[in-house]
Amino acid sequence: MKSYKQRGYENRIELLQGTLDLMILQTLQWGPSHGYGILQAIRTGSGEVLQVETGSLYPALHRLERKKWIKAEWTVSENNQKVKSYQLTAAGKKQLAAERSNWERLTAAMAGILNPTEGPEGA
Amino acid sequence: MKFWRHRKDEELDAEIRSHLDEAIRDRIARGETPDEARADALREFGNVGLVKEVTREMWGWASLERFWQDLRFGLRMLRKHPGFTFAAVLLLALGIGVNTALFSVVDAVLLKRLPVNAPEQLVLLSRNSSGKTIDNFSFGMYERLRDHDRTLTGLLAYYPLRLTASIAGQPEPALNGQLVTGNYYAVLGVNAARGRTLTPEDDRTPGAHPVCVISDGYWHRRFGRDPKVIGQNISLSNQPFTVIGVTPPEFFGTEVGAAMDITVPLTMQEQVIPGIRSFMRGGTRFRLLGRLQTGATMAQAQASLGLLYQQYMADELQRISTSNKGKGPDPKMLAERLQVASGSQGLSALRRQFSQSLFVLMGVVALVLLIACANVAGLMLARAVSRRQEMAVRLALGAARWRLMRQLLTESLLLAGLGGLFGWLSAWWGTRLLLPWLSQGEIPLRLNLTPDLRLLVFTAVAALLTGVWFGFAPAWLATRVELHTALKQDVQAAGKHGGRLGFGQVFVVAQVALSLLLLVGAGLFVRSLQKLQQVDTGFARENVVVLKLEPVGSDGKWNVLPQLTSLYDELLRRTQAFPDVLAASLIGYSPMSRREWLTMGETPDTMATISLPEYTPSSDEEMDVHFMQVYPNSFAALGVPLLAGRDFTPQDNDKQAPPVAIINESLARRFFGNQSPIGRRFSNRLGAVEIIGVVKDVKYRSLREQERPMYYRPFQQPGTSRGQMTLVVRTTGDPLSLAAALQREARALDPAMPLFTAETLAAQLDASLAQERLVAALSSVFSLLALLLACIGLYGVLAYDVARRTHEIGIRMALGASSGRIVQLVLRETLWLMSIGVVIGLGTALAATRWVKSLLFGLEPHDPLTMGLAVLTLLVVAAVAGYLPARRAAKVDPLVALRHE
Repeated sequence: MKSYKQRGYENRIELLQGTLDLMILQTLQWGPSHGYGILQAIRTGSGEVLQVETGSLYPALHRLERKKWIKAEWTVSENNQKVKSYQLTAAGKKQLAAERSNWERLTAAMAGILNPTEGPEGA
Repeated sequence: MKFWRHRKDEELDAEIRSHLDEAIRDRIARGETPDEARADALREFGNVGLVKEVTREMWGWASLERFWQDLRFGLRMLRKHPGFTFAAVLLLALGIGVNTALFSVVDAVLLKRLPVNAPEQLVLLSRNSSGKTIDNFSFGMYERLRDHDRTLTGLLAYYPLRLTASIAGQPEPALNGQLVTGNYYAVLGVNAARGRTLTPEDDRTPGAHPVCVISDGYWHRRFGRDPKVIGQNISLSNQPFTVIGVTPPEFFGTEVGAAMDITVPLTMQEQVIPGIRSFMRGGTRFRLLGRLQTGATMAQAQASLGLLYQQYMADELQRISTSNKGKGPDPKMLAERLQVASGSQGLSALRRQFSQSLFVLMGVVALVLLIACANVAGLMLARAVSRRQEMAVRLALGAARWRLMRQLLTESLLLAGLGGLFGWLSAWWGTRLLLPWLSQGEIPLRLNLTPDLRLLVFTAVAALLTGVWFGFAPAWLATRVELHTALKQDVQAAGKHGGRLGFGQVFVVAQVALSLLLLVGAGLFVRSLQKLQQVDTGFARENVVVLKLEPVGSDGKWNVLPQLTSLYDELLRRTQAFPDVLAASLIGYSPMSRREWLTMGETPDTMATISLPEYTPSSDEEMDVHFMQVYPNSFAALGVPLLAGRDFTPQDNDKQAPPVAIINESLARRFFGNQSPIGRRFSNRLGAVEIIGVVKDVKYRSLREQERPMYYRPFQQPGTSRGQMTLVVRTTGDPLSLAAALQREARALDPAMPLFTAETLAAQLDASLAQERLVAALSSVFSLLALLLACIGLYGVLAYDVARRTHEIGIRMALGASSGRIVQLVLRETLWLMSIGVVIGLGTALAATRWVKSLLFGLEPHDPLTMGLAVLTLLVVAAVAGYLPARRAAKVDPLVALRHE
């Protein structure tokens, strides 16, 4: 049985899953990084707008690893600390490209809906 | 897996720790104090336990995890109720055990025992001569077919014979041997289990290859599986032969029913059977088996081989008529046709005969397992009802129903698994118990019973199906809880459901029906066996000893007639000199020597076409009848009543004496009706024969056989070349000590003669019923077991019912119901359940017993007496099972019962 809180996490995962995956893959495109690093990169990259919770990040990382889009390795960070560092695989790069174009089509569509330049009759 | 899991957990811990460390370091770098940094980092991270939990879910092991949970919980529940667990596991182990045991035998007999490579490609050759099928060929025919045919990849010839062996100078019991062409093993696709098999190289030059291959059975029997047997010498007819290989255990040779001991190259024939001219130069003795080319059909082989055969016969005819002007050629020769039949069938006829009983028994034990399942399901159900409150509480706390059902099913599977485990272990022991039963009789059953993967899979599947079958209904029922009622009411009230049949009752009805089915089956088999044992065989069963005599060379009677005659006469003289001997004589084949009759087939040695001067057969009437050569006094020795005329005298037993015959009752009835056949004549191939006596019909082949026409001739008269006889002695003394004495006499008279075991006719008869006895005994045991289980089930349901209705019964008694009335009340339920079960069971039995018809004897599958007895047995036993709870109900003290709530 799952507690209320746990279910809350799950809902958010569902909500964010597509975009979170895309964000993680995009972040890793610049080079390997560990969980905390990815979190910080997303936060600063989004101008402190997006706060990804660890309860979403780590399941996502482990899921992506299982799908073999990213692979993990224990390395030493610039702070001389042992960290689990993730990096994109070839499959992950392909997935990133696919999700990016999906996302672009989606945002374009959204933009079309939100800022109609022509009425439906004008088409 | 646990270890792996552990490591992943540690890794996740480390990952989270490093995350926190990084966060703390960052915060310190931004100016926070270490304590603040730590607290903030932790707050920012959130609930570490939860993060771990949701991350772990991503590993895909969550369902496995839950399964472990269920399993642990299930084990705890089983431990908490040892009585229930013990009963359920015992029942299941029993059910699964008998199934596994029998399956291992079925597996060994039917599935494992494909003795050759791709048996469907094998073809058996025979020739059809004016309606008769003959499966013997001459070597000349063999060579022609082998060398010119293109539809076969190979054609082999073999000749089965009895061999006289000695090892290290000591005489050995007679061996079943065969002479084979060098390609024998290659064509069959049989490889040696040890050493090597014969190759064409071993069959090149006559007399130059003193080698032999022995069977696994002989290796086991004589050499105790000693690996040093390769290279050892076995003397056959005093010629040393070197053992070069042992065939695999599943290979028994190609003869149906015979278990081959030793195989020798055909070119060694003159060494093995000294004094007989080479088989390769004449005589039709060889049986031929071929292997089809890939892609070739039987019809193509038939066409090709048939043509070659006809050409050969035409050539032969030519040769005979030019070389031998006096005798005209036999016009029948050209009419002969070659036949090609499936060889795999020829190889497995016996197996099929055996397989039916095995399948029936398999069905029986499957039913036993079903009953055991129904029983355990009943137990589970009772427990499920008592666990309703637990379930209700869990459901109320938000557990999903499927989750609870899964929990309960896991428990059933756990039980089934335990049952399977113990079943498997007990099967080991059960099979060893079963095997001596199966091996009784003349057909030796040498089975490879080492449990293999297939058996394990069978047990596992049986256990799994069992678990699902008996677990599902209780699980479904237990979780079908109306929360508010279940939570409020106590156990007793919760178990109450209206007048409809509950699951428990359904299980009882099923058990009653199934055990009735088994009882009917067992009754049919037992009664068939009884009827078979009462069959009038035509001969005396008791105090008759038989000993097979196959002196070397007796295959060709005419070559060795003087030696044979003096041997037989001397043996008879010495036998008669024993005290207690009432009569002694020789007959061609002893009754119920099953292997003999199976392998003999219908050869010119045992069958003859007859004609009668006053009798015109219809165009398709069968005029081939069996005949047997006997010595005078044989009917007295066998105890066959002479109905008319006289027995043969020593004067009749002479080649020059006027041809005479004694016919059996069936032959007399068929051709002479009510007239006396004495003094009348019939003719066979060699001329007219006078009938001098009529004897009663004798069953020779099996107790089930129909009476058939047959006649007897004095040993010296018929044209057959068969010279082997069987000594028959009737005694007033101990047959077994006489048997031993006879063996010694025979040995002393002819040390070269293969040594056979003297047996009583009663033992041979008994052995011929081994299969029937096995089916009758096992089905009886299993049906009684089923009956017992059904009664326990019935008792359980009723006892539970009485306990549940204590309150009601108390009220009834308080209102004045007598205890007799209460007993009636409970018995009425028994009767009700029984009658439904009996109706269903009888209906099923009526439909199902048809399938065992061929195993029955002397009664119909719907035998009313058997059915009636089965129902009666069931009712009596069930009445007892029902009476106990009824009496307990009657003893209910109304005061106690009313205070019960």
